[in-house]
Amino acid sequence: MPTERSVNSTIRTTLVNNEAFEYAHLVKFERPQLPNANNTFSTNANKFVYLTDGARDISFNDGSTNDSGSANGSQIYRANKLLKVTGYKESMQAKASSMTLTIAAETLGTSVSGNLTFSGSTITCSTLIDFVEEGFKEGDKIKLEANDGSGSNHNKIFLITGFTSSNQNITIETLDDAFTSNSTGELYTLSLESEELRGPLIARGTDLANPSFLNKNVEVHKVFIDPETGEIKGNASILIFKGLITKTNINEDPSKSSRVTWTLNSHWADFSRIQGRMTSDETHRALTTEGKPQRDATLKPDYADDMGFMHGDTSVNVLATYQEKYFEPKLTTSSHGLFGVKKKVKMSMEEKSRDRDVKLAVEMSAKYLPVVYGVRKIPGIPVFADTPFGDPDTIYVVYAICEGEIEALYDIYVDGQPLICLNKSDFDDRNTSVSEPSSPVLCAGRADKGETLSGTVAVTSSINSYPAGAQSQFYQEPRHVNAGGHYDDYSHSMGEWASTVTTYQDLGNKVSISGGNTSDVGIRNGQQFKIENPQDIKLWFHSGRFDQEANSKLIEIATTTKFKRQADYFTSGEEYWSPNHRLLDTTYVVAEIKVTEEASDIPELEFVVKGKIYENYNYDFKYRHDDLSYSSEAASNFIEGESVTFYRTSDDTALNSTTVKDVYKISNPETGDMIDAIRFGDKPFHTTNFPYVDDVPEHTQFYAKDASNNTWHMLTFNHTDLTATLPNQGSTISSIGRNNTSGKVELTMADTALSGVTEFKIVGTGNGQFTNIENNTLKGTYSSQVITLDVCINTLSGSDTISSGRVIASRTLQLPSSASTTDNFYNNQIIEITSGTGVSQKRTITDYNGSTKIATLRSNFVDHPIPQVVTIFQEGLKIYVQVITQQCIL
Amino acid sequence: MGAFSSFANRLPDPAYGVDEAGQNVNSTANYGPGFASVTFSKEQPTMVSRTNSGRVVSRSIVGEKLNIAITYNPLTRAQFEPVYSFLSEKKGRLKPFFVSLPQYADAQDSTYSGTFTVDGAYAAGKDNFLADHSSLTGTPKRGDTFTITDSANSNHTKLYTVTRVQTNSDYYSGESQPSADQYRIYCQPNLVYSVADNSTLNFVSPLVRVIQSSDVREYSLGTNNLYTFSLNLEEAQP
Repeated sequence: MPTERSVNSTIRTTLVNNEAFEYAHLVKFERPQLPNANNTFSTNANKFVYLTDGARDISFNDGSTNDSGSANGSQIYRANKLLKVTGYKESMQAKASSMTLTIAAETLGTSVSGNLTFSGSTITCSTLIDFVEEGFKEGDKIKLEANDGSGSNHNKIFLITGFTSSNQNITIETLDDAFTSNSTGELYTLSLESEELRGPLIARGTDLANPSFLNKNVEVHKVFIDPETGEIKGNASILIFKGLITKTNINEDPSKSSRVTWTLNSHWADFSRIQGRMTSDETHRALTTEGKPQRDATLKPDYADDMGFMHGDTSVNVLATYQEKYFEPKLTTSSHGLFGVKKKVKMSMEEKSRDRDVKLAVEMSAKYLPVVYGVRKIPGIPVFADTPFGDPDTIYVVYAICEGEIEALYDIYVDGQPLICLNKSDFDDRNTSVSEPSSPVLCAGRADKGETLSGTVAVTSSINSYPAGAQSQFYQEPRHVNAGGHYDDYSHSMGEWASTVTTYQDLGNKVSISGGNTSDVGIRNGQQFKIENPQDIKLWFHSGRFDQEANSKLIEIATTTKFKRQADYFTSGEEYWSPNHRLLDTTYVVAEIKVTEEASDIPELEFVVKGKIYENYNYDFKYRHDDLSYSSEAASNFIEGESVTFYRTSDDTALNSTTVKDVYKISNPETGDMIDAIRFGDKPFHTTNFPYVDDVPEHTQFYAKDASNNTWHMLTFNHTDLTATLPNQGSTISSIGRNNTSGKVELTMADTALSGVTEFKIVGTGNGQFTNIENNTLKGTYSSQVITLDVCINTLSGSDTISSGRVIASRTLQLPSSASTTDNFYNNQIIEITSGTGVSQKRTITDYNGSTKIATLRSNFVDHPIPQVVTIFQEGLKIYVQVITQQCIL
Repeated sequence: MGAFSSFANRLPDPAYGVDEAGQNVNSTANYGPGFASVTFSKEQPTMVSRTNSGRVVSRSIVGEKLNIAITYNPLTRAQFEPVYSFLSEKKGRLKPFFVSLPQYADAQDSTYSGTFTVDGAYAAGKDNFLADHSSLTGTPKRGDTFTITDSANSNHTKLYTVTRVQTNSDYYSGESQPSADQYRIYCQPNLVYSVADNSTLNFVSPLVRVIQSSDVREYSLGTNNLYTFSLNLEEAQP
């Protein structure tokens, strides 16, 4: 049902009565800024630029609050820059709209030098300079640079609020820098720093310390002004646009004008602009001309270490061999008669086999990975194809399917024929029991009944370790002596390399379409599936998790028998398919295809996928059950329509009452398991005992109890199982030495905790020859409290130190004493850095030791920061949108 | 003569002279020529829509701009060159300068003299304010123009036109009653900047900050050896 937009009553009256008014657009846009420690961006007033296209400066309070929640108050929107605000569109559809702002930029690059004194909030220039004539205006940001490099306000940035004394004095307001009074004249250069003008000239933000305007927030308000009093009607506005900066450019015509144009897109643009990623190694890892990955230029820092698309744009011609059977005439001579003088020759046909070659060409070219919502049939994009060396009738092809993480693989089309029968007629024609099927591609199940393919879990708990090769650029080899006679800096090989993966089993014939295996949840992450018709094809499915591991089947071949192309063209040190070939965030399947006489080609595969996972943040009052602590509770104890009361779990404080709206099961999109869900008529709420801030509950654990005292304990979407500051990590380094024979680093440890560890991470700060050593994973050996690292150094000097030096096993974190004492308690939970270096990075915990409180992560954090504060939470807390699992008719 | 600290930045006219060095010297030798005519236009852009029903919807977003066209009587070279060189120094439309319009050289009340100041601080956007006339002789009248000298803002150079003058005995009840020493001055456009208390109102020879309308300056020289010249200016706020 349509609802009317809330408009201030005074504005409404003005519009309805057709009263005369002036109007102005108020534009508030965010300056480039660094994120706070908790990875949010400041909302303080001084982090925004305020502009208006009105006839004069306008003071307006938009009701925003600063970082501490206090009101920002009225801000002055300056009328001296903004030339034009383009029109905007509104429609009932949720779609991206755009707007452009045009700003006069004739003063761009303004800079002037003068002798300045500073008092109160005034900069006084003793040199005869009219700052306005020079190009400065109210609202401009200026940077002061002392000519001798040491002035009291050197390198400080302020905001101009006015001019006095024939524009020789500037009144300023401080932003982030403190203003220091100084009555002694100092020679300074003032330069225009306003980002709204300089935006197009600011270099692309290559790191957080150099942020750009892109993706910063913009709000455009429209205010209605009383033409008599000049006051804003109702002291209110209509927010006509809220979006992000997506583009900026500058146009200069010497005979006309200089204009900076900002293109804004509404927040819906975040959805419409997603085009997926290219399946190109060059793009994915942002390779330099030297082939080195650039972590700062990749879409996600982790991609710099992911070599999954390394073969994604090469063409492969495979000479596959299969055995052909044929009949050959055979003459059999037999003797009979007296003395065998009679000969009888008999001809028969003998079946023989011979090798036949078939040339298979796989053209691989980089394409955009689609982003799939709902159920779609999409072709796979081959990103790898090769045959194992010495096994030419088997071909491995990796098909990238779409942007991950998706829910499931529902069906596969082989040469245009689905493996799930479309309907009864199709089933009767092609099911696996039909003696003379109409197609070589057999099918099982019924798509029109909602049935899908079914896989079997192929991952095991065993972890295999593989050597990392040199090609990844991340393997920390002993450093090489460079031309200057010194060892290379550690930073040349900075990065993460993976060496361990969870094993994928080869389940052989256990799972097969011929067995009629179907389900209603599809093939899930880590499952295997096999097709037998028209030829043997085994598939391993990866759903595209953010930290998924590489496929162990391919690694196993690459590290043992090798692939054909690998054996021909790659050296032993180069990684052909390694634990670093992870295809992060990419849904893909690995297909093992057998070439036979009947099927001497690579079939065309298309995949029916259930796309990206929706989470609902409890908006429909459905909550994740606390299975970890209350596994015995049953949703079936509750009946739709019955009344329940919510209680806070921590102290059983009674909250509000509501009714049960629905009791049902939904499938966990990550595992396919069915989980119980109860939808209530309201959220748990109490003004003081269960309050909400910006719709986020301050308490996260509660339960419902009905009249029969049945309970159902739940967790809100923001629940964490642990939020803590981490203690000191690892063991202390007692002393640092150098092995005079090998030149390797020897660390003597204060304890024996690292016994048996072979991959280490340094905690602390390296100095001298050890500069940046803390940003690497290092291989080495441990013996009798001495770690010998595979790192060579020159003779040690006094400056070669590791401040606060400690060592911890790579991929591990020491959790605080408050962490659970139960082994494996945090297994498969997500750990996120919430403060300090590496903030917002997430990893999956693969193992947890409740005695030592050491958690093992699937991979190290990018650049190996030691987190300060972390949270650990379960996946799926946001609970899933209820989905109908019946497959669409395609 | 001697050293001076700033160049004259006002178009020479019969009440304002600029000497050879560029400083303001008011003497017969330095005064500029008078204007033969002044065309003064005030632009207040308004968006207007008229529907078929006859209903008019009008909205305004753009501020007021003044356009001034000045023509000179035929000039001798001695009269012409100080004006032309002054304009040349402004590099076309690059540099703004001030001009005093003869029709506003004096207030309408011929007895007007003394000091007239804003009484209280006022926010930008107001169309009226109280002014203290305790040190003023004479009365401002509708149609008079003025500028404001604000010690807290040297950029406030807008030329305002008085639209209403209210006194202690004749005032609009929707606003506070002016005291015996106050006038309530209504002006157009509304105040473009906030104004500090005690800012001075200039009703005598208020100056308009202008730039030339075109980068092209053209004159013609006739057989009588006199220069024919005219000038188009537009208001330029800093």
